[in-house]
Amino acid sequence: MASTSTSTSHTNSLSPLDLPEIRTHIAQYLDSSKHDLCSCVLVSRTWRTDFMPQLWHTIHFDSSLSYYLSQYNFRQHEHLVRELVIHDPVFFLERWPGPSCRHIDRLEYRPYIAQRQWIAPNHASSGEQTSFDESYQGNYDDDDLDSTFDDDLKNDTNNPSSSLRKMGSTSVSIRGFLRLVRQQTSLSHLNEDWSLHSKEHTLRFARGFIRCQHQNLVSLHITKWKISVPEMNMLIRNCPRLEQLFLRSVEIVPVNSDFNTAAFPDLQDEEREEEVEKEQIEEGQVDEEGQTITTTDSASVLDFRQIKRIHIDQIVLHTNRLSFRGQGLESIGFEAYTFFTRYAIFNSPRPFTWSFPNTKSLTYIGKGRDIHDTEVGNAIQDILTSCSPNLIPPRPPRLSQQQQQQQQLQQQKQRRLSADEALLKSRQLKEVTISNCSIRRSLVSSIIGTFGEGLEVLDLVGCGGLSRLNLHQILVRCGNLRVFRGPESFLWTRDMVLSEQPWSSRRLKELVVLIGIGMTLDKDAIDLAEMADTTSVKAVLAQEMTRRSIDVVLDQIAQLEDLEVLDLSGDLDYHLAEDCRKGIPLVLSAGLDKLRGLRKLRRVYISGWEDEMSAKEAEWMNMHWPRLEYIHSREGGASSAWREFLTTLSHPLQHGYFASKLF
Amino acid sequence: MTVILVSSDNQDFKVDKEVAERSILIKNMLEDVGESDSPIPLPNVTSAVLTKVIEYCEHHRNDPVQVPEETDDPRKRSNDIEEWDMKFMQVDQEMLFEIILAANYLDIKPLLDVGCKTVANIIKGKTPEEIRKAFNIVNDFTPEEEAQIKKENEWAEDR
Repeated sequence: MASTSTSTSHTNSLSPLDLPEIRTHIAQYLDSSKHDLCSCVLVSRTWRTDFMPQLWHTIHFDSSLSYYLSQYNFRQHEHLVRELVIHDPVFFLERWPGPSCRHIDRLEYRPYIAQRQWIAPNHASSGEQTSFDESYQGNYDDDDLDSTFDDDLKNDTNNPSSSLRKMGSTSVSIRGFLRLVRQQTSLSHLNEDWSLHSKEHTLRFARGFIRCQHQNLVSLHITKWKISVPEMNMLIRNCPRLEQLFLRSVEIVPVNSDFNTAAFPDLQDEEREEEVEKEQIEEGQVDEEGQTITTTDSASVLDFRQIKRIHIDQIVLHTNRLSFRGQGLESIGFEAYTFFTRYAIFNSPRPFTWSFPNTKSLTYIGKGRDIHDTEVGNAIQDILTSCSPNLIPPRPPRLSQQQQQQQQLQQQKQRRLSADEALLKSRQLKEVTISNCSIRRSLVSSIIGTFGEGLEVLDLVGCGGLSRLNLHQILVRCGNLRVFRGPESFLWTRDMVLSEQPWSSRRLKELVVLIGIGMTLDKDAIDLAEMADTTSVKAVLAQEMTRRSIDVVLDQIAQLEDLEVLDLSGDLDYHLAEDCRKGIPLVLSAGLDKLRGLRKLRRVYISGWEDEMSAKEAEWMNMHWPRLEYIHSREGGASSAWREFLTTLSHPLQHGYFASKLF
Repeated sequence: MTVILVSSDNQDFKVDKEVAERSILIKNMLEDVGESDSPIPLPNVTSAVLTKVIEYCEHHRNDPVQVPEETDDPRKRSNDIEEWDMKFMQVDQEMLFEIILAANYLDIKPLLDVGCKTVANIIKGKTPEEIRKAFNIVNDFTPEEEAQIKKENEWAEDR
């Protein structure tokens, strides 16, 4: 037993628990359990000092917390709060006006029962507010729970005074939240979702937020904002350190559009008009005397300036034309990305352009749809083209003569790019993820041709539309790949034999690709038992071409000495022709011993022929793959040899899916 | 290239430089002295503990260097210990504490993390009295203070 030398312990030698920095370090790993932190606080005085900051580090403020946590207690410890998630604005922002915590790093507004919180304060009239604090126990009437926001709106129409009270409540919550945001000295992450209350809440919060400076904000998540281009540009200007922007269901609307001002007439107050005027002057839309300046750039260029990472989960564009620009942008992700805009559908030429010339990482997670000729397809092509003008340009829209001249000039300028620059640019894109969608073969070929040499991660899981040539190109041309997760297309072993080109991707750490082996079946086999026999490892290896195919694949994989994850069979069901099999038999008789150099392997998917694996293979794996953590098998085997394999293997077996589910 | 580490009980350990440099302390020392065959004394680490530390560094010799942003993630979890590390940490409490102290002294952050996670796992689910007993700590609160702290932290008990 180690011992300590302080008053809190009995023995002489030093214990790590005597060191405050070690206690603090341990406390960080107890963050998920307040109960354990409470126990630690009660151990001794020194433990109390070190564990209290972690106990108060992260507070999720919901209505149940308000039963137990008094305002006095909170005020005593609010200086320790670093992460605050507000689920209950009624208590936190309305009943406890003016919380003075000033050291929050991460602030989230995520009400989970918006309607309830919206209604509750309105039961008390302004005259009742003082007694409300005492009588209100954080427990709403059952009727409140059943009410919906729609009912509430209906009541408002019939009862103007209710509407006024509600407006007052909205203002209190939003003002309180904005005040909380402004008083933080080190706020770096903000995630808000006022839209769970109403569009008006979102609008009011957005208005208040945009016009303030947020000096230390690094990451911002916004949801369901309707924002004009000048407003978005102002927001980014007001957050000089902003690097990460997450847009969820955000609508880009025209300046002074009906979307905001007409929808909520009470916002058209003098203050708002002054603001708009000031914004327009700043943006160069009007001069000091209010005359319109005929320049459209400020209203049509969304300038992401210092943003390094942007994630878009649905964006709706309501503008005539729009350019997305971001010189410093390194990573862009689209998810469930859709455009609902009349201009994108009916107008020609295409009104939206994307220019992020320094993109290092591009991600698109689709929903199984074809992205050919969609705005998202165009956006991806635009971004890739902006990274390297050598990439095949997108399909040209119909252009007027003047536009054609402009385009020719632009192309001439692009050609002047020096060879060195082009080479440098071609190595800049490091990560491409395009998954769960159908993609154009030519786009994949362009990506490989232009960026292949620099790509480190290529994730095409769940992607359809690629050709067998595409897959072959990837492994032969992308010499720097660390991670390759293949699409729903087969890499046929015979193609590899015929091409005789070795894989250049020798630095792979993760290889997930659907390998297909063609076989010559015994046509005279009349039942399933016989068929199974003809596809046994022995029968497969008896076929010269198949034997050579397996050898070639194993020889290539054997070169991948950094490999940690190996999956050659994918995780989807395929209806293969009778003379095809997926995967490679990982048995000694098929040449498993060639893979003895893969000593870094951590996870391996058994890609078929499980019943022919035995204790010999398990012993071999135990010896040659010392870092193995898991062996995966979709269904496992039924033979006694397979059971021996499992009992001999010193690593656990996991059944089920592998590649795309775990990584 | 190899370096020689000398434990507090004067045993020499010849290890690859790459392995020794998992320790930021040793890495900085090697950078400071430049090319030299001089043994590096580690007066705070016994041979038994140094053997364990070298075993850890050997196993993790190819791990990428931790990025500060990742390590500063406030949502640290104690249950994400790799299987090998978990087995490595299956030692008696005295050795566990010695490894933590050595990792702290030698500045091997991943090893310190694993050690602290292991202690956090020992703490989980225990009452204050059980924690005191497990780590030989004296309760220096008065009964009144203890009652007051309990009341103050009631809000956090079931969270």
